[in-house]
Amino acid sequence: MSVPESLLPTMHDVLRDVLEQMFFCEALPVQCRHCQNGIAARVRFDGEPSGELTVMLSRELAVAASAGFLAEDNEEVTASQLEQIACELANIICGAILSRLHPNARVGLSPPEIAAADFTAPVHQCFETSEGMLAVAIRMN
Amino acid sequence: MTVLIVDDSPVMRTFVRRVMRLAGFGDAEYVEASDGCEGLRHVQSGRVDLVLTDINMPNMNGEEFLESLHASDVLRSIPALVISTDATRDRMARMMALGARGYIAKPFSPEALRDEVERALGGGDERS
Repeated sequence: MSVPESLLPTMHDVLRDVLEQMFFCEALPVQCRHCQNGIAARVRFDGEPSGELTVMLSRELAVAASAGFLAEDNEEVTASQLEQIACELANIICGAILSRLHPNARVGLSPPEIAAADFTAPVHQCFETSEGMLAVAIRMN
Repeated sequence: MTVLIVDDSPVMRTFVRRVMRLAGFGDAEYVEASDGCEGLRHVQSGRVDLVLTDINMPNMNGEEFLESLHASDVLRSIPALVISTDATRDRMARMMALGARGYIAKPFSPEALRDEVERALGGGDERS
């Protein structure tokens, strides 16, 4: 399936809104710099369109974003919470992008899961925050 | 006021409770459920004044949960708001048809949550 032209601008808007409103940080799109030692979560979507979205966070950003989300200190965030929050972030970003791009569509989201990083997807955008890197990758079937 | 938060994600339940407090509902009591079955048991206990529910959950999802609430003469009077990543028109219309008093799409701000909660409880501005 072809990638809609509005996908990248929509992704930027969604990232800004999600990070500001729910994770209390800001992100700017930047040239791709793959984060190593990070954490990644994937959501598959099925309907019109179908595909998958993967969110990858550097370890530093994952900890800071989790602490912001839960109102805890960085040291208090557990490994399990890091994974849950990476999954929740992928879920929110995926749902918001699809709802804005296809408000009349019927698309089902699978439960988010921890996954391998996806650096080869056709749509891939990195974002920089003061706490570290984040990348979003989308594959459309 | 007792608020029931129904979501299969523990971190999301923590976040909603936190944002409710930021939105001015710090005096409320909060109870949590990880799916619609558990949520139904809480509302049947008779001490829930407001329900905030996700849609995609195991065992009993948000649609089935709202259907169960709406099917009961007693429980249908409890205001229920949906909090979901799915903001498609069809989904929102279905949940409102099942008796939801409001729909909050993620991401959302404390102010947006406060406005919807106040409206659902009858204290906010009526919107079309």
